[in-house]
Amino acid sequence: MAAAVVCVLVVLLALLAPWITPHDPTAVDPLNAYAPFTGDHPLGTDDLGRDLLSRLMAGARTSLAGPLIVVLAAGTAGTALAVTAAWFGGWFDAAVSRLLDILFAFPGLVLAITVAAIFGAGFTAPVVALSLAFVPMIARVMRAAALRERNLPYIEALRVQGFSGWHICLRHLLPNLAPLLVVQAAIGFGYAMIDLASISFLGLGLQPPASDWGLMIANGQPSILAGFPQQSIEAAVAVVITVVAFTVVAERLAERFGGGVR
Amino acid sequence: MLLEVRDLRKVFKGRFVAVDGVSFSVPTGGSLAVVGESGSGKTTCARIITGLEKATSGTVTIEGERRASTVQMVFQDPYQSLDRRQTVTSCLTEVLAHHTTLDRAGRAARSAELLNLVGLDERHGPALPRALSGGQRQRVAIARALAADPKLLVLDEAVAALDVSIQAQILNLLVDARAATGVAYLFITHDLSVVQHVCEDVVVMHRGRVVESGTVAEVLSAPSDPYTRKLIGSVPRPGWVPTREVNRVC
Repeated sequence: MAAAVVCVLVVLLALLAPWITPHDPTAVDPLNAYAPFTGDHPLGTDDLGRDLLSRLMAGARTSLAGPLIVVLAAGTAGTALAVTAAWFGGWFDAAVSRLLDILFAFPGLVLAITVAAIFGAGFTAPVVALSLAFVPMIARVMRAAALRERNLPYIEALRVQGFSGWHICLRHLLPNLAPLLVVQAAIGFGYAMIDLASISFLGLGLQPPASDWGLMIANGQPSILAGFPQQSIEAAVAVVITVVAFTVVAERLAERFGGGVR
Repeated sequence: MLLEVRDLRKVFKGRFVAVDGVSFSVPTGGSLAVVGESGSGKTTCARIITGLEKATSGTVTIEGERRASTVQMVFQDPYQSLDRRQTVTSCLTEVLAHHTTLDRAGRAARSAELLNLVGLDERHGPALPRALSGGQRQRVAIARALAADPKLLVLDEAVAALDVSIQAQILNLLVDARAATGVAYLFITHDLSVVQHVCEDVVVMHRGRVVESGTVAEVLSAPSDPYTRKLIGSVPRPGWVPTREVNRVC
């Protein structure tokens, strides 16, 4: 419950950030660099005097949008692949399963870093690469569930009723798989967030002066040596809290739906 | 004849002969029981007739135009043959929308009618399968099958998963539903004791072959095949004492 509240709060902060940040997240104020925690700067300022609370709030947007796009894309593609494979079975299912096994063996983060290195740093390349890398993770789980579901007698009953494969998949199979998909997406969201933060940290994601959380952790590094670790720590805490909250919600959902299939 | 099955043969994996030259027929509005123990090939016959399996050889002819709705089926397991996420009403209206030209109001009226036909009422309409008992679910499955207005209803061990008292209710319901709609039954069962209540004719299957056929009265009172005699001997009745002879059937 508390985790769900945190999730909603983080999402709300991200959505409303442009209107509710106390300061302009990119406004430089060198005289106020490394300002202590005050009423004006509740979380202090960074090496350029930018307000850290405002930067965290603004950073929430890209930090959440990235993983969201990843799970939406990978969830859609993975589920479509899984349901098609389970529905047709035979050599098609075997081929898809082998392909997923091969892709699964290839670490997603490595793929994303390679793609970002080839196509240039930024938001799009790592997100697209990570979406691809997350397809096997979701498709493997969904395929197993779709296969169980497809072999239940009610699917045969629907076939005898004369319904087409499309109708059965879209109106019966998918809705029954939906709870499991939600759980998978919520788990994947946490992983994707860490991976994208890692890529930003490596300098292959968003570039300054953007205020992505992973980037903030990286940018705060020199200041740690100067004795002002607040930027890195605050951004890292933001990532940890968000990831933990989403993962806890995912686990609760998984418990409630029993993995999505009886 | 509504349904003509001729020399039906089904071989699984090129080796196992499940159905071996089976022939039988069901007249329009008639009622045929296919009786046999597990593995006798009776369910495979039913699956071929409903189109869920392809025959290796032989023919299944259904009188008139072959539509998806001509033959409908009620499955053995009432707990899994309904979509757990779908309410009773939605289950029925979905079939009606697919097979009839009724508008929304017409479908609602027809589904209420079907619920009444199977002994349920509007209160059960919004219920999900998990809120219903096994007997109630099987009633829904029968209503769903009848919603397509079939000429032939295949009942594959439709009462086998139910308690004996519920079995009797469902069998009565089937008798009434046939009288009300004129649908023909192909009643697949391992249990001879439920046959005489619902069916006029019977074929007895053993190891993929028909060993005996005739009217229910004939076959039950004067069985000619030794296997049929054993089956009849194994039906529990008052004063029934199991003997070694009977046990060997299974």
